[in-house]
Amino acid sequence: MRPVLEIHDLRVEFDTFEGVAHVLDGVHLTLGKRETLGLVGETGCGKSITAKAILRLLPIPPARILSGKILFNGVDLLKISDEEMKKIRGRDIAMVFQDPMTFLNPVFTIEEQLVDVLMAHSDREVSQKRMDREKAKKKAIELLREVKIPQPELRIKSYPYEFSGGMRQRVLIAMALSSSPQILIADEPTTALDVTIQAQILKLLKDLVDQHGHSVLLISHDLGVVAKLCKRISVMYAGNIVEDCSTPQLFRNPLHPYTRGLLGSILTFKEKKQEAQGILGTLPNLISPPSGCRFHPRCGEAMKVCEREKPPMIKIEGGHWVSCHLFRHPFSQKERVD
Amino acid sequence: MVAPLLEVKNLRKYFPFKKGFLTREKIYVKAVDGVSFSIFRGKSFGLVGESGSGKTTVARVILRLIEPTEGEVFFDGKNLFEVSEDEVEVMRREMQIIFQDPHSSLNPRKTVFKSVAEPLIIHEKLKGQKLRERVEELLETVGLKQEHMFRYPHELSGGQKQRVGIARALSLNPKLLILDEPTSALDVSVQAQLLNFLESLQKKLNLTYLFISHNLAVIRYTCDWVGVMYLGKIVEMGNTEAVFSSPKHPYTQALISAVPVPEAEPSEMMILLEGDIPSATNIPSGCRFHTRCPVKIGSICEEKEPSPFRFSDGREVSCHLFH
Amino acid sequence: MAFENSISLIWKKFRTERESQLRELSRTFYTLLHSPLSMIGLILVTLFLGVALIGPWMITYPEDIKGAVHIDQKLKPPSRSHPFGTDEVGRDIYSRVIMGTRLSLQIGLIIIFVAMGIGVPLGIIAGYSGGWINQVIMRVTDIFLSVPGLLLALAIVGALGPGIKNAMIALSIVWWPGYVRLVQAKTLALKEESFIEAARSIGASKLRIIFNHILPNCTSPIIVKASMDMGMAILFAANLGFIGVGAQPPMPEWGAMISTGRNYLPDFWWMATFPGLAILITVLGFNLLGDGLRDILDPQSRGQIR
Repeated sequence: MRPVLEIHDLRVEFDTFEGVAHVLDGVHLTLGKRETLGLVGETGCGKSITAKAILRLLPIPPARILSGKILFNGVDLLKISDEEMKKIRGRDIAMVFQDPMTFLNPVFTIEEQLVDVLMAHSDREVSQKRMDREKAKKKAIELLREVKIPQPELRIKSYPYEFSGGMRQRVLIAMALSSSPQILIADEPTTALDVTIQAQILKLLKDLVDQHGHSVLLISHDLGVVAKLCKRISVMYAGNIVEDCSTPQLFRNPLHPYTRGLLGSILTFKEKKQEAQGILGTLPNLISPPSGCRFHPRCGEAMKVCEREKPPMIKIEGGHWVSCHLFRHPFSQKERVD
Repeated sequence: MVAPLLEVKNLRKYFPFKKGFLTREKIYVKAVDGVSFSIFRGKSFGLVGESGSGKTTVARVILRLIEPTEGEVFFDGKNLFEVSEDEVEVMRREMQIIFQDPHSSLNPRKTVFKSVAEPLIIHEKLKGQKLRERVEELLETVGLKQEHMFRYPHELSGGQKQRVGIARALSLNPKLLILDEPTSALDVSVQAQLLNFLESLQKKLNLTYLFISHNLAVIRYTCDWVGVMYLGKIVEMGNTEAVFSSPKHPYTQALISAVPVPEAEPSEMMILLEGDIPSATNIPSGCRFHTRCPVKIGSICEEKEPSPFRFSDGREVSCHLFH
Repeated sequence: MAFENSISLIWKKFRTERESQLRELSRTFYTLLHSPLSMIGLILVTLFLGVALIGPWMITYPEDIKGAVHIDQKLKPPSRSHPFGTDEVGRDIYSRVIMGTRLSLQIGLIIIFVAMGIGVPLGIIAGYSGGWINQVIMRVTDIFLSVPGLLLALAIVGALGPGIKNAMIALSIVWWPGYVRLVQAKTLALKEESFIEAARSIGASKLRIIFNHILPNCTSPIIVKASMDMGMAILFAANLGFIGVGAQPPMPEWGAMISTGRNYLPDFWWMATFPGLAILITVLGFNLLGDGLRDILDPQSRGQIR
């Protein structure tokens, strides 16, 4: 079955005062139908930029897309017109952001904002007429009910500031899912929320996804959140995907040295205390990134070739891919086409 | 019996919150509503809680950055709220705080050198070469190099900024360090390094730590003793390992089960609490957790506030289930 | 040999200690260079300052600055000897416009500095103290701000009597409230920052916090406002001169010159035009420069690409 989203060799640059930052250096990503994929990485690795690139929300200067394809059901999103992109953005591919307060307009009620979104997306099919306001209002209440906001008929008349963080995030999720998108991109959706509220939102997302079958791209720095919601994980470092595998594979058999370092940095919570190690060194300067593999200056197992050549994505077994020279074997399995 | 370095007794802090210009009634935000705990020299105590729990306010009242409404705080035997202004100055040197946001805890217009030197200039009136040597020493203690000394904060990474904050706090040789979410703004890989560093620093300098965090994993990793706060009160307190492996208060249980653990097959089981955290201006009657408690017994939870029940191992739980 | 060594040591020390500051300065210039409008502003302002400085050496008829009268030379159009023509009593307009630059600079600087001298301390005190002190200061400021600037200046000059000195007093009074507002707002915002809390926790006194922490962080918005205000202050002074209550003839103040020149339009257009152009160029220059500086010094535009 063809994946619903495929990113091939995406390269993006940014103009900054200090020079040109090479933020995405050939990103490969695949999201299947009804699949939940977690994109994990630390600050500055480029995960948010990837998400914005998919929706073509990057500010084109100073950003520049150098090369690559973003295939949505086979159609390259980077090549279609602005008009066609508008039809897809928010409808077929929806996004939920980190801070719900800045993404809700404070001077309009929740009802007005939901109705706006519903009516805007309602004429997606050429045959369908634009939804009328009354119908949209009713649907909006249904949406709030679906995201488990109590007394939706009353609460819908409130303004965003009257809602708590968790409630606002539910509204954003309702907005995103209102048009039954094929893909939901969630960028750190629970980072700004309290732990108990985060648990509620994660459960909500899981239930909604199970029920409606959206494909989900969850972006987070928190491996715990990703593990809870996603069946597959892609690990990102300095603009590259370094490992791509299923969740159990990641935790049971992490291959890339960065992934192992990341897992080793996690403070164990369930069992008795174990020593956590950080990863030595600092994030690379994206303006003059390290040659070859971008992780090599911090890698305990770096070889000479790592400095010279960037490793390709190598298939290991059963859907486990890693981008590291350690796994290049003369009798290796098929390497992904770059 | 050794006396604790820090002893907090029945601390309360109410912030007045006027609802309108003409209303008579004064509403209070009861940020801290009767908190008591002790920390012994060389140990780490963690205060954990979500927003509205009051943990940050507790820290600021202890440092007298905010004045308390009621209660007492004893530091090294002396009552902090009864000493003169001069003695407060002396106490200030013995207690220091590391802030949450490394990006705003340093004056953007001051170089690293100036920021670290400031306490020395104010209190010890150091100058010139002597000052320079002390600052260099402090920076070395926190693992920063000479080249960082004349940089501005925006040229440093989050982890480095946090270390500058620590160097500044250590300059007056404090006995107690209050750490307010020291790693929240840092990446996972840097977090572990910083926490390990703080632990080795504690052993080297015999420091006492009061850790404040909403991140249970951080608290579990660093603290010997923990207090779980909810809406201004400590609902459970005890040895960290014991509390986390067998929590007794329903809120603690829900909190622990809510933490998403990064593991291959995370359990589906989560104790989900209903609704949002109540506002601190409108604290529920009786046990303040009763509006969300999954194991509420009955009307007693709505009417009477539970008092702390003490177990033999030092654990304290405030819940009507335990009497 | 020893001397050279010590010089290089001092330079090295200066370099390491000021490395970051030098980098900031070069970054500021670089950003300015990349905005054509700001560059124009910078050039115009530099031109203004240059002329003001070397004015006395540029003029061709120094005696025409004040009181000289050459009736035979009156109302001559622009020529080789009088590039801007002559006025109604035969004075060389070119020389007067040049000297007017110096005068305008003096007027602008005095107004701005007096306004800052009153406004900035009041703003910091209001912002940091809060409570009733803040209320009192801000309400008084509001009262001053509620009257349109020029009208207020006219009223004050009306009370004090015409003349350049009184005009400057009046304009300083019009200008100081703007600084109070700006600084008070910035102080309020800064007060909540962690580093102020940190300063208190290490035992810094209120005074130290104000001078050492708050004031340095206010300089950016103050510089931006001051550079835009220079142009406006000069314009307002010219307005007062034009109306007749500011600089009095025979002072070579641009506004006063336009005032006299107005009566000779349109036949003897050069009398009003050249001083007018001078005002235009000056005010435009300061406005463009101020805009450019605001874009640079605004912290939002720093660094982050995310």
